[in-house]
Amino acid sequence: MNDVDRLFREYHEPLVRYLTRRLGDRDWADEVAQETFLRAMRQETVVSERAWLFAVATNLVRDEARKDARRRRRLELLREQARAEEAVEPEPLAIERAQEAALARKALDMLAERDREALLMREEGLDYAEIASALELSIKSVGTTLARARRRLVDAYESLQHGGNRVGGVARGTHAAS
Amino acid sequence: MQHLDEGTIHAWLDDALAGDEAAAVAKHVAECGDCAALVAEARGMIVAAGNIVAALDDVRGGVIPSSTPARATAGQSSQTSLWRRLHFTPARAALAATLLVAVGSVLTVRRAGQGDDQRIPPASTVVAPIIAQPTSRPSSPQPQAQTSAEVAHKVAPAPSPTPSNVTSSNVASAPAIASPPASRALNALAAKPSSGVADAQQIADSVRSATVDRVAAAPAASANAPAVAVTGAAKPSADSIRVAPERRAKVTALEEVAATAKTSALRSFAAGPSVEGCYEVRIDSASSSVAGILPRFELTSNSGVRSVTPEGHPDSTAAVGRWERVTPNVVRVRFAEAREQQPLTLQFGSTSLTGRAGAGDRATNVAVARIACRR
Repeated sequence: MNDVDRLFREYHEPLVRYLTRRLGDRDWADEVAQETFLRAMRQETVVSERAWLFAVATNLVRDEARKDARRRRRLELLREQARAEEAVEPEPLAIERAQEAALARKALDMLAERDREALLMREEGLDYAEIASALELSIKSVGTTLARARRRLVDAYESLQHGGNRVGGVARGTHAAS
Repeated sequence: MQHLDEGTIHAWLDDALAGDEAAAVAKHVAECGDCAALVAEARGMIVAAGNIVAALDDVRGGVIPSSTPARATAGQSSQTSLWRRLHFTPARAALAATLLVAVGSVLTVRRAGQGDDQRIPPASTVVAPIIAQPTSRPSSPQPQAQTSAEVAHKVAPAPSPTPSNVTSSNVASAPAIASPPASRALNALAAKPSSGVADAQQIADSVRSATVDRVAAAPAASANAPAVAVTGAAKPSADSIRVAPERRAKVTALEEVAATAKTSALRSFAAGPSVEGCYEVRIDSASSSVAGILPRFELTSNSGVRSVTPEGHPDSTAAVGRWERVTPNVVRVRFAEAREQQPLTLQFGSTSLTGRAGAGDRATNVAVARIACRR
């Protein structure tokens, strides 16, 4: 495809962010994004660019995750440990943010794969048609999928939060309503 | 029309329904209280889920490739203020103000002791009795400032780095709204008269009001104002003008403090309050525990409106918007995200900050709190 420069400029950032959120690993996300754009180069035509890119990236993640989930998990843990050891930000806020991120990661991992992907794609601004196309859903079911994903994510986050890991309150803050 | 299902509500809020279907949903929501409550809950759920997802970016700025042009506003780095580069924190602000007061007081007391009386306050100035308290202020605020900084750190992470924003009256929420704990804590912080940060600014404000001889327009805050209350509105008596040397020394010292902040303060007074900073908005909802949480956002002159994280850090992953000043005291904020299309109106009073979201009959009072920005 000739237009890969434009494609890269336009979609690299959201794609890497989507993948980073999905994988919890920026380096891995970069690798997958790179592979995605390589495939785009080989592709003759791409009809719905963003949906196509996100679909390919999502499938790459799924394939790779299936192939060597355990190895990846171990690398991920090692990387997290290294990051924690390298962390120089002594502020309590940095710790709180890390705790929030860890809770958010746990909560996200508790979602069904499709719900998680739909939600992350939506957060990247994909519209319902693009999400439906990328995940091979009907457009009608995207709303239901997102509603379920959001509710489960918030519930999971809150249950984790109330399970003794109370932090600054990403989801609902310190909301006091009934 | 039967009640709306959750998927339809989310699709509607995500602006994913066709025109006629969206119109039918809107009509139904306007007529059906149950569905309106569901919509409110779904709206909160959408924002809450977005916040959780954003929290995944534990180093938010690092998630975005640095070469990306979209978010990196050209020239932004070069416009980083000196305050920001100096990491001007509330504790440092309070400490600096305290030291300034202390040093000024000491110097002036020495001068006053040598019979230097040329800097007696203007005749229209009344020094409130409380100023006659022993000269404990220069030495005492430091622990208070630390306490205040700790509270600010926990509750409203830190004030925005510009000194004009380091003021307790910036932290307020609409009284009509049931305040969540954070807002209550912020209110408590705002009303805390012994706060070092607030003290420093209030002292400066008080002296400024004497300097510019304007009518004090903040009764609630002034009632709580600690230690020094100077107003040009009261009629002075001969006795009140005849102040003790140590009082004169203190007022003179405070004038020196005020002089440092006077220029910016006067500027903001003339052009309406400074609105740049970070805000948290909450819509009261009795129907749901998650309803009505809007994104925290920052108003800047350069980039308009942008989202910030709960700690006040710019959130590079969230959408931006724009704002306009309707009158010197009223600002209208529009979010770029489809789900936050309704404008938010902020009204800056002398002692309060109130907000309304929506337009016309569908506007709702919202609780607005100014939170601290952090970089």
